[in-house]
Amino acid sequence: MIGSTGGAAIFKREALVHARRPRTYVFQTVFLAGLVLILVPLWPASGGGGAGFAAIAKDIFEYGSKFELILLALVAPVLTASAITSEKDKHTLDLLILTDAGPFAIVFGKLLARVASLAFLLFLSLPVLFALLTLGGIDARSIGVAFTILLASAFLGGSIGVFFSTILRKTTLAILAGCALFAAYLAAPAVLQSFGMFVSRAGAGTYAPTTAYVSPWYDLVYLFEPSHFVSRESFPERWWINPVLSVMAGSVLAVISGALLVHARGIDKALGLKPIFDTIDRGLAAIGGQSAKKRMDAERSGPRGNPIYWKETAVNTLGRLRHWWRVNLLIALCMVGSYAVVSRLPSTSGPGNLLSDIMFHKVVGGILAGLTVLTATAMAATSVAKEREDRTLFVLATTPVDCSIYVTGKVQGILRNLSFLLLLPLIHVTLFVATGTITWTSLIFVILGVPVCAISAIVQGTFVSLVCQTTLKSIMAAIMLLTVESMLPVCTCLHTFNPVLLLYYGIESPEGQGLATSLASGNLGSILFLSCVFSLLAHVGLTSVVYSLMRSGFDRYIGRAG
Amino acid sequence: MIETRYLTKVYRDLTALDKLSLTVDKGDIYGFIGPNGAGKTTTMKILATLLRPTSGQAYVCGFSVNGQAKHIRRKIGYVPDFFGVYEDMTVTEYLEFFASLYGINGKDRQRVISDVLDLTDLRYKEKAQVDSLSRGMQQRLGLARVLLHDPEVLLLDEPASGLDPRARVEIRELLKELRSMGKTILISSHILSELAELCNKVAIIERGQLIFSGPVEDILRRVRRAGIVQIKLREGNDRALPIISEHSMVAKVQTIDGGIIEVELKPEAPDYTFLPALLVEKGFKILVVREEQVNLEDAFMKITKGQVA
Repeated sequence: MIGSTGGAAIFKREALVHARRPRTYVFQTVFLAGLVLILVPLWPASGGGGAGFAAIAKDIFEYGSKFELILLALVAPVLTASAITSEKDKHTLDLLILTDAGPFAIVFGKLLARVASLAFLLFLSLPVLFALLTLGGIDARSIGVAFTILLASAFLGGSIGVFFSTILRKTTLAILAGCALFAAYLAAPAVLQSFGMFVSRAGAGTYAPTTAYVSPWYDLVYLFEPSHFVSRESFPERWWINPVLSVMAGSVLAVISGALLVHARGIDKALGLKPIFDTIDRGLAAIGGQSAKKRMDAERSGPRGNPIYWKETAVNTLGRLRHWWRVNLLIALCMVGSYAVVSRLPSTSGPGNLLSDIMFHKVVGGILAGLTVLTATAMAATSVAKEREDRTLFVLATTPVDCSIYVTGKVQGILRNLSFLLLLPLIHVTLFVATGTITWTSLIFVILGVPVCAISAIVQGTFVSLVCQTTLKSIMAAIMLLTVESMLPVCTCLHTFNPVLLLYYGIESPEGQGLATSLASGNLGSILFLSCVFSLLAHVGLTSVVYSLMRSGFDRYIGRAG
Repeated sequence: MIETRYLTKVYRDLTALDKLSLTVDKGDIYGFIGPNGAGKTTTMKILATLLRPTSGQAYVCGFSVNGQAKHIRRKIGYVPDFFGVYEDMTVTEYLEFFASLYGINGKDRQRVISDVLDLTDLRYKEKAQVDSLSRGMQQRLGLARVLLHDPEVLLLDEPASGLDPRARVEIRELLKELRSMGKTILISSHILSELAELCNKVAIIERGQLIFSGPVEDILRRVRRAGIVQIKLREGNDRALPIISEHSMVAKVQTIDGGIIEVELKPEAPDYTFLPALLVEKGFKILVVREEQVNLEDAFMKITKGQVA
């Protein structure tokens, strides 16, 4: 009884604090405006008749729901990842635990309050979706099913965020871990299926495949295209399994979080990255022998060039992976191992195995480019904001450090820390250029495209981090900016501005119709080629603009008079 | 070395500094006193080029904070009241990082770091992680950091805040060492007894306005009440009180804490020498005769309560 009263008090406090923040309403307005902006151009003005309108309505509903699910994957863990870490930072967690509320009431109070705000966001989109009913093609029942799937996913996403918030010390780490796990949960079945590793063929009955049970993404696909899974067109009967499983999994995670809450400090120390990286370092140094140890000591002898670069690479957490080239080697070995697995799978588009399928390489290239840019953005977005929160930026501001040294050091440092990720697409494409699966011209886009997009992401992330006061705000703003940019191909002619699409289109087989053919035939006017080149130039231009903005307000951003 | 002229800082509705004018000469150890929110940190931040004044001027080493901030940053060392340290850095790495930000490299850097480690008594912690240091040691590390580039002026905002007695004594000794090195130091602190011991001048500010500025002796003299004498006898306070009060030059007499007799003389009394003579004549044994004792804390309390014009 006491626990439930305490839980209600925590829920009320969280809900009140959330309601008092102006940014809550700004975010809701932006979300709705974004939804309307996407819908308005797609809304059928005239013509096409009833069947045409119905098809359009179904498409809008389908893509709108999937868009909301992707947004949830980003927002739900971000919104909940600070639930416990912020209490740890403010040293108020012990005070909460000492009350009669109890750990489970604390966890559920915080979780439900934050999930409620997400649910409210989903409710806000309902009128927009119900407007589609007037066009036909969908019914209220489908909207209700999609809404339930999204709501259950929000609960699971929130629980994942709270779980990582309990076991980790830093909000940033909790956000990254939460987003990664939720994204893996959403994407894993889809990626496996697209590689043919998870086969779901149309069956005789109306039962959905297991992918729809474990992934909300596939449950939505099942809802919109049941014929993809079953032999006849019918309303999916077992759509409810995924939401039920999501709520159950979320509840289990929340209960585990509650059970771990009283030991939160001990766990986050035990799970801290420092000991893990130290262990990796020691292990790699042992492999490298005495010469490696000497090199390692030499690297710790202090800055020789840009001190900010030295700090980023030699002493911060990621920089502790000083044997980065060996890490690259390990990753390359993992890649070769994964090729051995993939080579046993059949191609989805023709004879031979999956390794000879150009679609496989396009998807892998796109995923690696997206992962690199996302990681670069997250690292850059936390870099300055974290210094501000730790009050080390304040000390730095009293030194003569200027914008060029600071930003150059940050960009170089993050690039170096990310080098293993930057090399992955290059290694992959080079390997398959050598085997003749991918044309050599694809290398141009890998060599130019990935670093250019990564540098652009780092500069933008650093700028956002300079402007935003907290890590949480910075990460949210950077991810929103990245989301807007990744949507650019949808509403502009820059189909390859998005780094994922840049590599997707840039990587092609020797028989391809795109860049290789254009170059071979001397037809440099190819839209694809121009689009790729223009996208790269647009990234360079955008980076220059952002850097000049940073330069002009640098003193103000780091908190000095100038 | 430091000069402010009508320095004003306004945050929306709040005037944090109101036409503050003060001068700190070379070699001064200048104590900056005021209640919380008086404007001490704002002044320090303006002098450290972290804040721009709303109006007025401030000069450090002859450079204006408005437009010559880069020059000032090389001349000053600023230790804020609370500052963070980088994780995953050892003490030596922390100092190497900041030394390189000031352009100190190579052998010079090693020598300078070695010197400041010795000066701040952090040599035995040189390989320790900075985030594992105690608060007192982090403050000493902060002082080591600002000494790397051998600044002429040190701005120390509450350097002893939150420290245990031993750490406070260590910081005080370190500041005395810096004083002997000829540094000009502007220091704010709530531990006024330590400021009185360290500083040759003090400034008291309240609500952004300068209430007093000058040598420590001046402020004590100003606060000390004229004609108050304190006497401590071996015994017989009860008998002595009526004898003293009957004297024609005595206005008031009372016993205060510690069995001390406090005597207020009439304005026409030339001095207090008649009092010991009178008491000895009556057979009392006197342990102490002195003028009223006033310390910086008393002065601060009286001045900030508006008891002194």
